[in-house]
Amino acid sequence: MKKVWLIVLMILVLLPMWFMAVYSFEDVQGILRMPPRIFPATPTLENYRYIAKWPLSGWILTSIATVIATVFFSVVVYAMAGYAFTFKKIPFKGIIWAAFIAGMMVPRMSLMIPLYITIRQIGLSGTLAAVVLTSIYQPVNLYLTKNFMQQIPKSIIESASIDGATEWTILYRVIIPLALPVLTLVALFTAIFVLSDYVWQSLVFQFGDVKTLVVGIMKKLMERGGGELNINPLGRQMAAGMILIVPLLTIFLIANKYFITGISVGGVKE
Amino acid sequence: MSLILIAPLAVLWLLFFAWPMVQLVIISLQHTNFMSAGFVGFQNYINTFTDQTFWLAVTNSLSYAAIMIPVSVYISFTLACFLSRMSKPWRNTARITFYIPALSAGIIIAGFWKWLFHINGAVNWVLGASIAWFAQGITAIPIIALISITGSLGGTLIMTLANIEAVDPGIVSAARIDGASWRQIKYRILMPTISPVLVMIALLAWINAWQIIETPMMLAPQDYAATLTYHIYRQGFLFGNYGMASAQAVILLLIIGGLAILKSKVKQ
Repeated sequence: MKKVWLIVLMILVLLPMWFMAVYSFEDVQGILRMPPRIFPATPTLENYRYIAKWPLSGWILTSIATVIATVFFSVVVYAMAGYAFTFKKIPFKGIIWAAFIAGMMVPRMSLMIPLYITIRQIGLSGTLAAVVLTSIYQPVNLYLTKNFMQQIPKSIIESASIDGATEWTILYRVIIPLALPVLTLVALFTAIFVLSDYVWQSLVFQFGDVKTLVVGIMKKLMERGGGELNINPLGRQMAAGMILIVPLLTIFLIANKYFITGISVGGVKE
Repeated sequence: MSLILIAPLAVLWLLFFAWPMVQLVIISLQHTNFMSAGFVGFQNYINTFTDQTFWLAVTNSLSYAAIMIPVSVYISFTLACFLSRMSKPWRNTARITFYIPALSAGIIIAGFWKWLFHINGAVNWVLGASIAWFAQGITAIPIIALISITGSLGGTLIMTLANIEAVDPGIVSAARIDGASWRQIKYRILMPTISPVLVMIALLAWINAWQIIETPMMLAPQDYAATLTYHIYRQGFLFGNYGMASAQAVILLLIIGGLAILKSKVKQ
């Protein structure tokens, strides 16, 4: 009996995503129909054809480049920092750790104004670098990485260094392979974050033609009218959303095993 | 050597966290508009405290927190306890399923919620009513709070479940033998044992409640549903009043940090 409730709850949680897919294939009549249909009655590609007229490929390339760069640097930065904080002696370790972790208590959004000014001061406004550089520092990643690495036995690292391995070899050959679950987690968190961080990116790409996918889509969706008949804003929005979410969902379903191990081990509080 | 390892993170922290923090305080002491800036001391803070919309945003954020903290903790704990007794395939399916909403970009999926609660939408159709759900805070805030919870539930559930799985099974089976009911095990053994993670979930919900921005922006872009973060965003980027917005951001940091410090004091 309780299983039934669990299944009901799981279906409820998936409904928004499901309807997103359904409505991306519906026309206006289909969307206005009550009760809503679970499958599109007359599936149409009209919404996808409409959004195909947008400069999507440029936005997608921008987003892919941003995600790859941010994910790559994040994984490297947190693998290095996690290794240092877990296994190395650092002067004033406690203070530095506290300073780095303090960001957890600071909503990023509250720093939007000074961040925006900083980006303009160093001349990065409207560039990919502005998004990449400002998206790497996520204290929760440091926290999870260190928590995860603590379960790697110290003896492995000691014996590697007795065998004459340099720090970089240890990092590359020992730490990164053993910490792969948590680094997958960092990568996935970062990808999700960068793909959907609309508010900040809309400020960075306020002017100029370069845009990430989420900023481009929202800008088009918020443009008023155009005197077209048969407009279907929700259908288009959902079709645009599919372009953003399907890749994310695919990566998540492929990497979910690592991801769950990462969050489970990194998130266990002693 | 170890300094080289933390150097990249340190540089990013300095440039994009520490320096903006300092700047935030400096800007909060200035009078700014799009063209110029001048030092005005604490005037922005004084103006903030007499600003009705600021207090409304604070009250709203507290309302969001009042819903989100108990609901997130309760659902994560109850669901994780239930799943801990299920077989592995069930547990894995649930973990994946509940995480999926976190993947959907909040700003895009907002279109779905807007339709669901539209005056001619599915919810009103089911209720046979015609309520404008996002036209007043009393209905908009709970809905937006629930939307936010679906986004964070996946992560908190995985963490809670991991903590329950890490509880020594010997303790649970010993309690069983002594005749304890599952209910007693749940609230007398599991809950106290994993309380650190539950406190952390509460703290995350507290922080989240103050910084919800995309959903109100899309669904109810009005003062009555605005969190303090959204209020600051509007002050700064819609009205160009960086000084006021920064002063309010400093207050926001003090509010959020206040509870965090309180929590660490209590723990000691």
